[in-house]
Amino acid sequence: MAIQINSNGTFSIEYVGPYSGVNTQSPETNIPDTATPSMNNFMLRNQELRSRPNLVAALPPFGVGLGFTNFVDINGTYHVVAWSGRQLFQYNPVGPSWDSLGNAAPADLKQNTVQYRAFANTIYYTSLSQVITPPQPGGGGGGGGPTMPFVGLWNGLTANPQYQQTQYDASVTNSIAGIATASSPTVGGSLPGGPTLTGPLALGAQFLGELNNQLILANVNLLDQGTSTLYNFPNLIWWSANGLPLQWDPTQNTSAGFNPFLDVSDLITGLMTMGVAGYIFRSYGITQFAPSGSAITPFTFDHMWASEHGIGNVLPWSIAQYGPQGAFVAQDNIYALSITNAQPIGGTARDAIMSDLANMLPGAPLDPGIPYGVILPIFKAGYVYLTYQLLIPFQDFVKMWVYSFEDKNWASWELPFGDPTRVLPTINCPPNVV
Amino acid sequence: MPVSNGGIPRPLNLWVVQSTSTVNPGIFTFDVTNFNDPFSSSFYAWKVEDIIAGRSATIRRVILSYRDLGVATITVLLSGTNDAQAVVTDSQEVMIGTVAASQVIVTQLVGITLTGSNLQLSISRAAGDGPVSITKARMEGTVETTVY
Repeated sequence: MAIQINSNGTFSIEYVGPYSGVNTQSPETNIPDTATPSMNNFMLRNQELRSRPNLVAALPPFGVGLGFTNFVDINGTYHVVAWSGRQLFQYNPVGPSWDSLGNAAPADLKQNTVQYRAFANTIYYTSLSQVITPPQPGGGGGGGGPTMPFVGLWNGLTANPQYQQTQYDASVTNSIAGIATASSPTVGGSLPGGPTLTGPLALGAQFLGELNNQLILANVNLLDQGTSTLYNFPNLIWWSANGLPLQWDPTQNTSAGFNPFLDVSDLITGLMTMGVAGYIFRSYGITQFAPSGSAITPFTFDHMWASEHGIGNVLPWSIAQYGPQGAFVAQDNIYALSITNAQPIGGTARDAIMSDLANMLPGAPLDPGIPYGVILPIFKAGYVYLTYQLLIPFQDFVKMWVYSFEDKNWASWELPFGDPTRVLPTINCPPNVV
Repeated sequence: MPVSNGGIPRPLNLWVVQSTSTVNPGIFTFDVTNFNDPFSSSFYAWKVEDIIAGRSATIRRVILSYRDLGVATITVLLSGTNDAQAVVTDSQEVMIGTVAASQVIVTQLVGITLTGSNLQLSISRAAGDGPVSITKARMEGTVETTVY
């Protein structure tokens, strides 16, 4: 409400919601009454300025969690699962505790965030260490140390997850996304550079998605198990056969295949599928793809802007999706992506967020990790707050920027997760509702 | 039909995040029944008001309407600048809310005064100093209105 000045010189100023959130892009005297030049740990939900909720222990202690999610199996039973080290764990309400389901990967996943996707009542997952040079602002991708590329699965029924697959020629791949020894030379000949491959081949990727009943890997690593040679294809996507998530060999099923984007200047930093289309994010661009209806070339691809630099996702883990709503951080702004368009949402907090991203504590010896973004609808059942949450690690705390899709405002929170003495990240995966 | 290996009948429907900080390790959630974080302080600053540019104004009181979520201690701060271009401030610690945490909206008058230009109201709470939920803030005062 504007200032009310009476003829006798008395005045009053009232401040009420709805609040427009952080505004650092106008002088403090010129911002709206509903905005704030600075705030911390207040929630702007429902037009009240409320101290943010207390952080309390929710689930039992655990190792270094690399991903938390849930899925429902064919019996309608839900499984809350998490990855740590080399293993997959399941939440057990009796205790409560985390029960190990055994090895989920061919090697220790170290600090590398797990990408997962539920498909046909089974959770599929991959994890990869791959340092992505941060364009700007700040940050990069991947975690500590190399891992062996793989894709694994667990259907909620078996005693253990599965990451190995026996191929048609009896060769065994250390990934359920694998290529048999007998097919490896042929497949290798079609890859960029035409490497001579011995096989069998184990595929893994930084990103995992699904469209058209086909699992899709983006930013792919390939391990030639015959020679222990690792091949990096940061601009390649590889999809499974239609409805056959264990079949990735195009010489055996023509609806499986891959596509290297040789005509782009950057590398893949994210993957999102929305409705009948998918979006492959690159540092400086977005490629839209859609099912073609053809079994041999199942997808069509369209680089949405052909310029060398454009709106892309510069922080691989800033990308987030909830239903028809996506969000990601580009060089110039934070964007919301819907089925119809991409809209900047950084608003009047953009510069403050970009400053935090640029100033977060850089790498070794103190490596706080990387920023994570997520869109979540609730804090718990019955408490709705549909927000894009961007967590940025600092030495003494984790800054959490909260964008409300309903109110279109940004709030700034600090989570007490800093640790001046640590050399490892204090968060290793985004929050999730499980 | 194969039986499930463990699991639960419905999802937990709970926001979780893990901290591996040695200072504060654990898998956390936001307790939406408790807005008094013991580890984190809070503050909120409203816009800077120049009332009438070039004229000093005097804030004579601040009125806060808030939802009673329980007993909390907040600091109400007025800041501004004077004719010497120095920063001037006045603050007052205020206890709000009741043990009963009635959830109703109540109003608190804060007798705080500051004369200056570019006046700004802000509130803060220290970590663990109680839950705060401001529904309206109001500043009242006087300003010179002589024409020139």
